[in-house]
Amino acid sequence: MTLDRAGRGYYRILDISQSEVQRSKLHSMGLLISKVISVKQPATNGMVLLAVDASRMGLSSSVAKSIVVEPICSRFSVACPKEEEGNAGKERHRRKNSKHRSGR
Amino acid sequence: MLAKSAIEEKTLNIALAGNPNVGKTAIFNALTGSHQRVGNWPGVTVEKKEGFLLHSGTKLAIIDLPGIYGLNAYSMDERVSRDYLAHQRPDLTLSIVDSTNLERNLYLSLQLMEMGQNVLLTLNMQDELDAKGITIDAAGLSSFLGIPVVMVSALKRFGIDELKDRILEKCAGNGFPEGLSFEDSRIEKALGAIEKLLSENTEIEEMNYRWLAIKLLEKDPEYQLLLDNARPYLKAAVNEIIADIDRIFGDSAVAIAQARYSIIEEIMGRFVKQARKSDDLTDRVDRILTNKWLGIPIFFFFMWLTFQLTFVVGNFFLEMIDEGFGLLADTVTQGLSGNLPDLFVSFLADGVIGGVGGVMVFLPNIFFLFLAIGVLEASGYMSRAAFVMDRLMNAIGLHGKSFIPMILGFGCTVPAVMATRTLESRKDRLITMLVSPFMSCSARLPIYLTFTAVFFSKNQGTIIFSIYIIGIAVAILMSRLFKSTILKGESSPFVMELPPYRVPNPRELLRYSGQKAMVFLKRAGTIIFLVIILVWALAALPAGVEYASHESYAGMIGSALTPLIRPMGFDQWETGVALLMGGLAKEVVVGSFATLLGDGRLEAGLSEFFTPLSAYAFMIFTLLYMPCVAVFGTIWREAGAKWAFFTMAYTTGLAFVVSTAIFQIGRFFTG
Repeated sequence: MTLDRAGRGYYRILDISQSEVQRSKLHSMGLLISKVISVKQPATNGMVLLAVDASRMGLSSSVAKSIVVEPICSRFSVACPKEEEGNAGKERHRRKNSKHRSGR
Repeated sequence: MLAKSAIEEKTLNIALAGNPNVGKTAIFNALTGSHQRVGNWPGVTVEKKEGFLLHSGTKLAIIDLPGIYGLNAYSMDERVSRDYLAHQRPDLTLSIVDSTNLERNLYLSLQLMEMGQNVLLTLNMQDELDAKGITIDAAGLSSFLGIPVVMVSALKRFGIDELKDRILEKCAGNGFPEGLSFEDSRIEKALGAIEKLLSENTEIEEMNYRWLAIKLLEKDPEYQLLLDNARPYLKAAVNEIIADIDRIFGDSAVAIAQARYSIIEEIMGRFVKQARKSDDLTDRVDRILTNKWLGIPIFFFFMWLTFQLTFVVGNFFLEMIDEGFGLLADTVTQGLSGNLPDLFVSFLADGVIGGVGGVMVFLPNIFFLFLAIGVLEASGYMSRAAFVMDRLMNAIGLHGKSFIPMILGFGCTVPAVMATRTLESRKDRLITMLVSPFMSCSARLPIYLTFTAVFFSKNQGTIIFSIYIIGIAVAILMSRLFKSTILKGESSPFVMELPPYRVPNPRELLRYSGQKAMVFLKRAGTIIFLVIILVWALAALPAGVEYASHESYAGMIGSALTPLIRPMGFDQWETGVALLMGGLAKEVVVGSFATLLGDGRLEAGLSEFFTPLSAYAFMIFTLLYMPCVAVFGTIWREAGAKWAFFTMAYTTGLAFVVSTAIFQIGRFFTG
C-alpha cells in the first residue's frame, strides 16, 4: 500500500523509488527502504504526519503517494512493539548492507 | 597543517553547518555575541550570515549557513550552504547536530567528512538529554569518527568556552581528515575505479575526486553534468561502474545511503544509550493541534488571540503614551508661541510631535504583536500551522510549506519574502512572494488601530481580525489565480520537519520583541521622521499659504489624486497624500493624517473625512495596495525588477477594485 492510504500505526518502507522528491533528500531525512515509521496523522487530502526516529515530519500527499509501505501494526493492536519492530528493521539492514569503519 | 603563528596572522573561517532547527544560529549568537533571530521551526536562516570572534589572539570569522539535510541542494537556501561548503572551503566546519536526534543528524556529518571538510562535531541541546533519558559517550564517538566532539547547550551557554578552545586546537591540529571509508569492498572498489578515471581525465577540474565519485554513485544530477562535458569514453566507463553497483544493490544511490546509516546505527548502538521514553507530550498535543477537524479552527483561534493581546494589552500602554505626547504638544505650543516664528512652532507641534508621535504611540502594540508571534515561532506551532493549512493550500495549488512565509508576513513582509527561499519550486516561490504583501504586516497596525478607535470603538478587535482574515482570503484567491494563469504548474512535492514543542524562553522572547520594537523606533526616527517632515513641508509651502490648505503643495498633489480615489469613498485630498506617502512606509499613513490635520485633531478630522463604511474601505485599501519600498526592493532582489513592478501594479489595482466594491455595494445597502 502507499503511505497516503495508511492509517495510524507502524509501517515499514518497502519502496521510495517512485518518489518525485529527490530520493537523496528523503534518505538524508531518514526515510529509506526497510525503515520503520509511525503514521501519527493519516493523509486526509493533505499532508501525512510521520514519526521517523526522534523526528516528526509532514509529507505532502504527492510524496506520500509515491512511498510504498507495509503495515506492521495498527493503533487497534493490543500492543505495538515499537522498539522491537524498529530494531528488527535495523537488524535486517545490518545484515543486508556493508559495514563501515573510519579511516581508509 | 597550520602553524600557530600562521593562525595568529590570518582570520580563520569557521562554517556552521547542520540540519534545519538544530540551533546553528543560537551557537552563532553564543560565539559572536550577536542577536540573530532564532526560532523553533526549520528555515529561520535563509541566507549566509557572518560574525566575528577574537579568541586567544586569533580572529575567527563565524559563518552561519542555512540548514540542510544533506549535500544535495534543491531550494535556494540549501544551495547557499552547499555552494559555500563545496567552493569556499572553510578552515573548519562545525557540524552542529541536535543531540536528541543523532540518528538523523549524523547523516550530514558523515557527508561533510566524506567531502573532506575539516570537521568538528558539535552536539547541541545537551540540556535536553536528561529529560529525554539519553546519554552519549562523546569521547568514544570522537575516537570512532576520528574528529573532536564537543557537547554544548547554546541556550544555556554551556560548553561554549570549550568549543572556542577546540576550534583553535582543531585548526592548528591535524588538518583535513582523509574521510570515511565504506568497508564493503564492492562499493570501495567502485569508488576507487571512478576516482582513478576522474583523476586521469584532465578535463575534470582538480577537486576532491573521492567526493565526486561518491556523488556520481549517488546519481546527483548536478555532478553528473560534469560528465556530460567530459570525453564520451569517461562517461561510459563511469556509467558502467554505476550500473554494476545497481545490479548488486538494486540502486547505487540507495546503497550509499544505507551504508551511511549502517555507520550511524553502529554509533547509536555503541555510544548512545536511550531509556525507553517516547515523546508522548508532543504526540498528544499534535493529536489536537493537527487534528483534521480542529486544526484550522484552532489556528484561527490563535490568530484571534494574538490580535486581542496586541489590541487589549497594547492599548493600555498606548493611551498612556498618547497622553504624554498630547501634553508635550500643548507645552511646546503654549511655551513657544509668540517667542518663535509660527512656522517653526507648527513644524515642532504638527510635524515632529503630531506626525512622528502619532506613529510612536503604537510602540506597545507592535511589541505585543511580536511577542505573540515570537511565542508561535518558539513553541514549534509554526510548522503545525503550515501542516493544518496544507489542505486549504492544496485547494489553491500551493502547499502548506508556502504558508510559513505568509505567517511571517504578519510581522513584516520583508522576512516573509526572504523566507520563500525555502521553497524548492520557483513557481511556488514566486506565487508566495507575490501574495505575501496581503498578510497584514505590523506597519499597517497603526492604521487599523487609529481607524477602528474612531469608527468601530465597540468592536475594534473583531474588525481588525476581519481585516487580517480578508488578507489571508485574498492571498489564497490570488494564489489560485496565478497558479491557473501566469504561473501554471503542479504543486511541488515536499517534506517538512515538525520540530518538538518547546516552552519559549522568556528572555529570548523579550529580546526578540524588544528588538522589533527598537526597529520600529528606529524607523520612527529615520524614514518615518523624514517622510513626515516632507509631508509637513509640502503642507506648509509655498511660503505664505495657509498650512495644509488646497493651495499648499500637499493640497495640490492630494487634489490631483482625489478623482482616482473618490470611487472608494475618499473625497478629501489629505487621504490621497496619506496613501501616497504610505507607499514609502505604511506607518506614515497615520503620521501624514496627523501632520496634515494638525496636533490633536486627528480623530476629529478623520470623523469628518470618513464614514464607517468608507473607513472600512480605506483599511482594506491600505491592506491590499502596493507594499512599501523595502518590500519592493526585496522582491526586486529576489525575483527581479519585472516581478517587483508587477507586484506594485497588481496589488494597487486589486486594492482599488476591492475597496471600490466594498464602498459602492455597502452604500447600496446602507443608503
